[in-house]
Amino acid sequence: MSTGQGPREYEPIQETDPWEDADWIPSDAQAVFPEDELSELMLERPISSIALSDPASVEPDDSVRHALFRMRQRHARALLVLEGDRLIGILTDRDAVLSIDRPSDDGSQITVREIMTPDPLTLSPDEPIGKAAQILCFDGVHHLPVVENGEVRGLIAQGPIMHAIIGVMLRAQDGQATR
Amino acid sequence: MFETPISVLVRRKPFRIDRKAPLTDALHTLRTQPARCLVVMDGERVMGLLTDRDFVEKCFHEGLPDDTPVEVIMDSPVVSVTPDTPILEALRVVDRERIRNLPLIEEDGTLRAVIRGRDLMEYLAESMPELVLNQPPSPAEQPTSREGA
Repeated sequence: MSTGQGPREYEPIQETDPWEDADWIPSDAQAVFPEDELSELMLERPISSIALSDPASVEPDDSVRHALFRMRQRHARALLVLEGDRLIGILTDRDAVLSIDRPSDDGSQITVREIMTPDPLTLSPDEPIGKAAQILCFDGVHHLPVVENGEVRGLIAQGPIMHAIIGVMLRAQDGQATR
Repeated sequence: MFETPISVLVRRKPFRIDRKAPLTDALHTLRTQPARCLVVMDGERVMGLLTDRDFVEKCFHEGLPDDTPVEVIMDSPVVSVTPDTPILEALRVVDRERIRNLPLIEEDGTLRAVIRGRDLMEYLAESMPELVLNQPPSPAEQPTSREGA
């Protein structure tokens, strides 16, 4: 069912940016927030409790072709770039798409070092989950390596953090529904 | 959050591409536009989604010709919700299906928008500012990378 004259035109959607309005968050958001449980999750639980403990990695002089193979093999969207044991960068599927300009190319002519993001933001394993959430929201990154004393301990991404938050909220909702 | 519809989070138009369009076009759009997810259309009907991940998983190593239609590597069928779905229900769907992009499709099949995982994450963060936004800086933060700059 077409809503306009031109079948290829974008749907008109709301023009206003809801984020400009400080009061736009509906009141029911606060009313049902399980604050104690969320506060325990975000401020007290350490990142290490939900971080991926054995993240996939590549070496800086590996070809992008090899890195893409590792991503597929591990179903990973990000690879840590390790020189010896030292973390020197991170490589994501986004980096691959930005560096390969033809669909028929396989990345064998480029090295990981050329396209990785060097010196990525990192967190230590004992920092709270809320800290990781803050960085993932506002620093434009999707993955954060977890590093302790220069040694890689894991990798945290958006998915597991959202999963933990949503788990708390759904339990609260289910609790309310049965009251 | 229990009644607020997911449509309040809509912030941008969806990027559409025809199912017969060549992969070159899709790759070009992903590289040059602020698009992380293309919606593959058959006329006005949503057929699938196409993201960076699909290129990594199904394209770059396969030696596909550049003019291969996008429908060959798209992710299909699509998990979607209607724009009036409550946010909490949408969160449940995203979590259960382990998806990053959630199209909002009207009852009549019209595509309204695509909600990203990041939009939902930001909504959650804004909903509990004292737990996320006011975190102190950590010593391990290295604001030297281009991503963190």
